[in-house]
Amino acid sequence: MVLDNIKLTVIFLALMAMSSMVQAAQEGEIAPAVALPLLQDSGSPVSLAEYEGQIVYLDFWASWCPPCLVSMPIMNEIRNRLQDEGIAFEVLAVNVDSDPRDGIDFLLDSPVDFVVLSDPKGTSPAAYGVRGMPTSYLIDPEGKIVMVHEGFKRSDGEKIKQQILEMAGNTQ
Amino acid sequence: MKKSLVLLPLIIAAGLVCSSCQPVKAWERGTLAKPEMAIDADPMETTLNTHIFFSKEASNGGHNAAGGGCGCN
Amino acid sequence: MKSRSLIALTASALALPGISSTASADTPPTVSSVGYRVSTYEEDNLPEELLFLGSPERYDIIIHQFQLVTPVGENYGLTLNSSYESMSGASPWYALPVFEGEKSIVMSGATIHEQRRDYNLSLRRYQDNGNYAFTIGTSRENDYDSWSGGFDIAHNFNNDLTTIAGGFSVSNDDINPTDAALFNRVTDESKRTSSAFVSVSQIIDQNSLFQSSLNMTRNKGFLTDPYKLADKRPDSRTQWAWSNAYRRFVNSLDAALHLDVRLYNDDFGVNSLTLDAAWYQNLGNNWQITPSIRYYSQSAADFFTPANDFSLYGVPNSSDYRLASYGAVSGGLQVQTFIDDISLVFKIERYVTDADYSIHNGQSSPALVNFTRMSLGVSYTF
Repeated sequence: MVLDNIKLTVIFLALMAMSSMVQAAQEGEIAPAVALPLLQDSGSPVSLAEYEGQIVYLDFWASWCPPCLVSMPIMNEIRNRLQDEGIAFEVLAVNVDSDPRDGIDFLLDSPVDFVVLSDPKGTSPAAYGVRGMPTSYLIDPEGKIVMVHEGFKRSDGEKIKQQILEMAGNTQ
Repeated sequence: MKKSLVLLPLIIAAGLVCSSCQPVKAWERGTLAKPEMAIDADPMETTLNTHIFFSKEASNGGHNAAGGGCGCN
Repeated sequence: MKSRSLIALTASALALPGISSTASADTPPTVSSVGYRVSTYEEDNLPEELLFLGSPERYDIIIHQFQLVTPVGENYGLTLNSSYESMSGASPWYALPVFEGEKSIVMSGATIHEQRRDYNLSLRRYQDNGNYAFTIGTSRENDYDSWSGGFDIAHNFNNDLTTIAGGFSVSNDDINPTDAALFNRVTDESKRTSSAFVSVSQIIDQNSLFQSSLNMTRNKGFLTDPYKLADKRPDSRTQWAWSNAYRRFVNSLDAALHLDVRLYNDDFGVNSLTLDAAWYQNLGNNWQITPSIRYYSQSAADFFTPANDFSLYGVPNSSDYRLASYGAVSGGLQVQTFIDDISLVFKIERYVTDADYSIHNGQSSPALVNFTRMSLGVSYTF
């Protein structure tokens, strides 16, 4: 009886450990598909596939995550600047607030120009195996992940911009 | 005191609690991040309370290491 | 959105080592915040039927607190805490041995006016899987000078579901009682305190978490109260405290439950139990009301006697009510409101002691204290 309980506990713990070892989407792999509604607009879902041919910065964020909030205006400025220079680049920011209104409230205070999607159930961060908030994926025009970035510090903006310019230079 | 003896009550407590533990994903931490869910939701209030009870009661120590002294007990 | 200013104050304002917000334990503050709070603390007068001599008015204290939390670079957070306390009133000087129901307490003479200032600075470094901090502090009164320093470290693992933390601090206090010659008091004494803790925090599910901590403190030196007549205590004291905290969010009610239990034991012979419960009720996005209750029970110290025994010389003896067996029940109500980057808070608390509330052993004291406390505070995030 006791031995059975111990075996069950060990199996349970092993399953727990394994479930946390889900293969995270890694650099070099094809980015998993994403099709989600816009956060601030009703209407048909937007998919990652629509942005084939462009460099995409796919970012998972939430209103309760301070570094996420720091990254939004910084990435907004970078996105606008790069688009002004004629580079085919877009930011797809997936809000994972379980109550989307919290994400909308943040954007009302600090609006952005890029695409913001809503995923309150968390199916897309699960598909990507996100391990920390925020996590962003730099995806090339062929849909391959070139960089996975966890966390966000102010100086990361410049590094990401340089990476995108390099990618844009390579494809031209 | 042996290190294991010191950690033992903590591990027992966590173990008892953890019979229902579930892995929470990184994007599912919104509720846990709420200010009212912090172990210390109001640091200034905690500092004041700790000081008052340190002066008026014989006990000492909570979730933090001791700070400086005062002539109040 | 109300949470911005509070995220700054709670997740980052970890001035007290060992407490980690498990959800975002590894991010330094992203915004700066300042807070100010003023509190009044008033003890009930000593009942006339107990007062033998002196003023029945006990302590009235006003406390001003100030806090600043700010990021330093991209990986550090700095917290500065400061407080100023102004105190007036009298306290029991000694207790006469009398028959039950007779007046026995002699209060200290003219009401004192005292001030205390303290400053505390903490610098925390955040890394991928944890953080660590150095803290220094000082507390000054005209008869008491204290310096302290400490270090603490926290480490997350198990997909950030579990955090182990530990730390230690030391403090050195110098005591120079006023009117020493007049009242034949000691002069120039000192006391050293060292303290260490370990803690384990565990996320249980999306809505709840738990923390258990063990705290040990050792005092050495002059531990006696120099303002009490015929008060003598041992020159060392070892204290243990085991604290457990449970936090649970109730989604359907938009409220959080806090439960805390602490067991304490020391070699003065004092054992105690502390139970805390609080209910953080959100009302919309801008208001939060928090009722709280606390139960406390302690045993008497081995050398406590309700009346001073003047025949004991050189042997530990004290009639200080704080070393008696008693219980205390307190209730509090806090109201908080959030407007953009400003938050206002008001709290009132009533604390009542009684020998009968105790579940522990030992004699009690007639000089137990009740008090009422009110606080008003404001915080600003920038």
